[in-house]
This record gives sequence, C-alpha cells and structure tokens, in this order.
Amino acid sequence: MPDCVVRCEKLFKTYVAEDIETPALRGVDLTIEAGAFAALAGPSGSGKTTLLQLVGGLLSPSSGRVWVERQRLNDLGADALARLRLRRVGFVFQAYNLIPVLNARENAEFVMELQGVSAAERRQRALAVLCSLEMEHYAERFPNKLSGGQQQRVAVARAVAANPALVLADEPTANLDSKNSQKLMDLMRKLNRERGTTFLFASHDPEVLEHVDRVIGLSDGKIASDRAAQF
Amino acid sequence: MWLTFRLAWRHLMRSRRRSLLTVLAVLFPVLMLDLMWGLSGAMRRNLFENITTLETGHVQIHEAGYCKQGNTPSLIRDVRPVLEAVSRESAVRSFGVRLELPALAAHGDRSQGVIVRGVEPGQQGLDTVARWVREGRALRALDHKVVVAGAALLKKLDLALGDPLILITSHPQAGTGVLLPTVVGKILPPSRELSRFVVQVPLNDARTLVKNSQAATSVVLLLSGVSGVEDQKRIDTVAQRLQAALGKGYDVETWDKLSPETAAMFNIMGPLYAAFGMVFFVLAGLVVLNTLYLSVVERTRELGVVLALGSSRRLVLGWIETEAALLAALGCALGSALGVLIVRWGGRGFHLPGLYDELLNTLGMNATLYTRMSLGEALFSPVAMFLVALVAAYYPGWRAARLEPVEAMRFWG
Repeated sequence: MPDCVVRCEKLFKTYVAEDIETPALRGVDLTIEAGAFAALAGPSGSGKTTLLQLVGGLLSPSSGRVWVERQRLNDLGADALARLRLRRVGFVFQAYNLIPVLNARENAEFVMELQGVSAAERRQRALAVLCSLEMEHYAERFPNKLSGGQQQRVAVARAVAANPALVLADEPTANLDSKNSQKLMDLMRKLNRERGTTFLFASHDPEVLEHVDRVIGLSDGKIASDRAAQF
Repeated sequence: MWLTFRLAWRHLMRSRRRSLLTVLAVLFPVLMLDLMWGLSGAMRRNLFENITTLETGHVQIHEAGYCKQGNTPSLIRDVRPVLEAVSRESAVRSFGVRLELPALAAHGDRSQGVIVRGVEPGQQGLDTVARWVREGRALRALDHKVVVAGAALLKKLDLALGDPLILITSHPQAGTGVLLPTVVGKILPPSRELSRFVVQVPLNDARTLVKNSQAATSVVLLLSGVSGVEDQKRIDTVAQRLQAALGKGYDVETWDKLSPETAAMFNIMGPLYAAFGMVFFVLAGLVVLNTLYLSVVERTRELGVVLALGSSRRLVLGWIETEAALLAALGCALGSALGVLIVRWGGRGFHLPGLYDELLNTLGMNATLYTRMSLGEALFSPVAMFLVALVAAYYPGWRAARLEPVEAMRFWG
C-alpha cells in the first residue's frame, strides 16, 4: 500500500460506562490515500469523531485493525502511539485548544519543539506556515488576544508546521462564521496542494464538505456512503 | 528542558496570586526554622557560658583518678607544676585554682552537709556568683574568714549576714579541719544544688583546712577563641596538649566530660529542632501539593492537548515538578535570605522584651542574646524544604502525566 496513509479494517468501538454499552463504530473499513483531502460526514453520534480519534491513536478500538502509513496502531503501546502522533500526525481540534501561555508562533512551534527541531529551523518553519495562513502579523500575540478564526488558523499552523503525513481535523469550522470557515478551508486546501499533506476532516458543516475531494458518510457507526465530492 | 521551564514559569506568572501564596507558604517554615536555629544558638551560647564560667571552665585539671575516693575529690598537693604548664599554653585566656572539700556546716543546733569551695576572688571570667548576690557582697581579694552562701542554706541554718558559721571538713588525704568564717554574702543562684550545698570561701582559708598552702582539687581554664560548643575541637586539642605536657599524674578533662548532661542536651537540640522544622516543612509541602493539584485539575484540558499532540508523559511530569521547583526555590531563597539577615542582625546582641529579660536574669543567664546559626543549619532548612516540595509535587505531576488525552480534552473545569 505505497500510497495509503490510513487503513481501517472491520473497526468496532463500543464505549462502556456503568455497565451500559454504547456502540460508536460497527465494522468500518476505510482507506485514505496519500495527499487526500477527505471528510467524514454524518450527524452527531454517527461515529465521526470516534473514527478520527482511532486513526489518530488517541483511542483503542474494541476490535478491528488500524494502520497509519505502515504502522499498525493495535501493536503500539501508549508511548509508541504518542511518538507516532508527534512525528506523523497533526491535529486540529474543534475548540482550537491552543496552549494559553505560548504566543501564536510558539504554539505553531510547539510540536516541532517536542520533536527536537532546532530553534532557528522551527522558528523559520512556523513563521512560513503562519505567513501562508495570513497570520504573520499576529505571530507574537497570545491566544487570548486572537479572534476565534485567528486561533483556529494558529491551530492549523501547529498541525502542519511539523510536516506530518496526516492532519486530522475535528469540526475545524464549528466555532467560525461562514466567511472565516471558507477562508480556513481555502488555506488548508492550499497547504494540501503545496505540501501534499493528507487531510481528514470530521464535520457536518457544508462549508467543509463543499471543499473536500471525498466525503465518507457515516451513519450509526457504519459507512453509509463514500463518494467523490460533486463540484 | 527549556520548554518545561518556559511552560512552568509562564504558568506560574499567569496565576500570580496563587504562586505568591505558595511561595509564602514555602518561605514561612524556612524563615521560622532559621529563627529557631538562631535563638537556639543564642540559648546554647548562654548555657555554655553559664556552665563553663560557673562550674566546669572549658578544661579542668585534676589529680589522676580525681574522684576515686567516693565523692571526695583527691588533692593536688602542689599545684605549682600545673600552673607552670598552664601558663605555657598560649590558648589559655584565664584560669583559677579551686579547692573543694566536703564539710559539715553548722550554726546553733542546725547543721547541713555542704561542699566548701575555696576560690580566688576576682578570677577573670570564672567567678560568676557575684551576679547572684542578693544581700551583702561577693568575695574579694584579701578576704579572710568570710563565706558567701546560698539563700536556701542560710535559711536552713537560720543564718543572717554577719553571723558566724562553723565549717568542719574531713578529707581522707588531709584529715579534719575547722573554719569559723562570717557570712558576708547571700546568693540566689538558679541551681538548687548551688543554693543549698555550696559555700564559697577564699582559697587561702580553704587551704588552712587541709593544712597545705599549695593544695588544690582542680585548676579551671577558660580558653581564648572559644564561645560555644561549635569550638569543641579547639577545646579538645588544647586539652590533649595539656595532658601531654602534664603526663599521667593528672587528668585533663573537657567541660563536656564534666557536665555530660549539658553536653547531651546540646547534642539533642539540633536534631530536635530539625524534627520540629520537618513538621513545618511537611505542612508547607501539603500546601504545594494542594496548589499544584488544583492547578492540574484546572489545566486538565490543556494537559490533554499537550499529551494528544504527542508529548511524553515524562515531559508533563517534568513540567509540574519544574513548577514546584521554581516555587520552592523562590520561597527557600527568600526565606533563607531573610532568616540569615535577621539572625546576623540578632548576632549583634538584643534583649527580649520585659519578663523574658527578667527570667533570663533569674536563671543566671546573660540577658543579652546573641543569635547565631552554623552554615549547616543555614543550609539545612532551604535544602530540606526544597526536597519536600519536589516530593509533594510528584503526586499532582503523576496524575497529570497519567491523563488520557481524549478524556482530558473533554474536561471543562
């Protein structure tokens, strides 16, 4: 599978709380090719976020198998999964989740700093990404001095600056207005085309679904549709 | 390393008020223990000065086998060779000759067993009973057939100033002797033993009791450069030198051998204060633990994000430990600096207010206190507090490091 970034086989995930079992995924088979710009779509509770978290190694499946590039996540312990996330996966969370004590540039540098990239290189890479996201003038601002859209762009910069193979974005436009949503999606598309970074979104926002190449529809924890987006 | 430091420092700066309170919680016990060390040093110095100037000196020289004959100290029949050796020892600041004899003190139909202590009045630094004279006077040079006694003894024998006292001594090496001195001074020393059982007479009068003008039971020395137990090494060195100079015919003994109870008390004071301080440290450690734990709970979401992005659990633990280290270092440094400054200021001498002053006087101690603290003591409190804070931070750090990223990011604290 040389061009495959994500592969899931018969993936089941059931949450158990106080002896009550809640199935979130019921046998998902999925392949995402390198350089894809795809979205998991579906209503709330359809299993989009769960699938994204399984692919990102943040959750373990109840059964079934997940590969990211050539790594089978089921075989990895917590520390190895953390290393995989650090080196190969970028995350954009719904609620921005920037680190409040770091400014925009430092947030964008954060993953690279964990990776051990030299100060000069990570500064240059972070500024380049912030520049491509039109955030160069806000680089030294702290998150509490940035608008929602600006914070989300910094979150994208943090996810892509370290050059991951895969960026997982969970409802990236949920807290943005239509104009900012469109702008953010355009910027991510630009990064996808320029850098070849694979993007996988979880969203039910039409703004997102309009921009992607492929929409994977989830319903009740199963893939209900998988189609190339219509333009 | 730099990342954890930066995250920790900025987080502490973000919660300034809480950080300040934690720094104060760390500062307080360090300062308290330093002040306790300082005051304890002043008290130890006072006690040391008291015991050595009144009773033991820093070093005493006796006939070999000093107390072999029960409680009766053996006589040095000719003290002059001892005095020659002492005068050759440059470390000796002052010395006095004592002749102590067991005696029966009688007046009218009352009597009491006592120790007659013959002393040379005006021995520099050694004769301190003068400060306890409540009526009459202390002994003076050239006094003859006079006695200074404790208030308890005078009361028991129904004696007043100007009354004659009969002293009958009996010594296995010198036979019996009788002296009829007049009471010229009534002292009120803090020691019950001194007040009831010791009478002071001029050395020459005591020598008539043993019919030997060169007799003594001990030569008591005060050394230069000695102001407390911390100078024990110097005392031991001089004692060894004198022992070598005098040979086997004499026993040269240091104050701690002559008053082992006092020495034991000094030895136990340090560990006792350290243990006391540890109680404070543990309490401050709990404050650190509580602060950091709360801070971890508040930052659950933020920590979850850091872990989700691929941070190692070690980095998160290090982050929390670094916060504890910064708070503790600041608190310890300030507490220690303040403590050392106050102790140094107190080292110039100060009086405790009102009643404490009188109490110290009544106990026969110097009312001026000189706080002092050794380097070891000065280092102990900040180092111990710092380590306690690091240990206290481990639990919140461990909790933070064990967070599940997905669960943590759902947290809205």
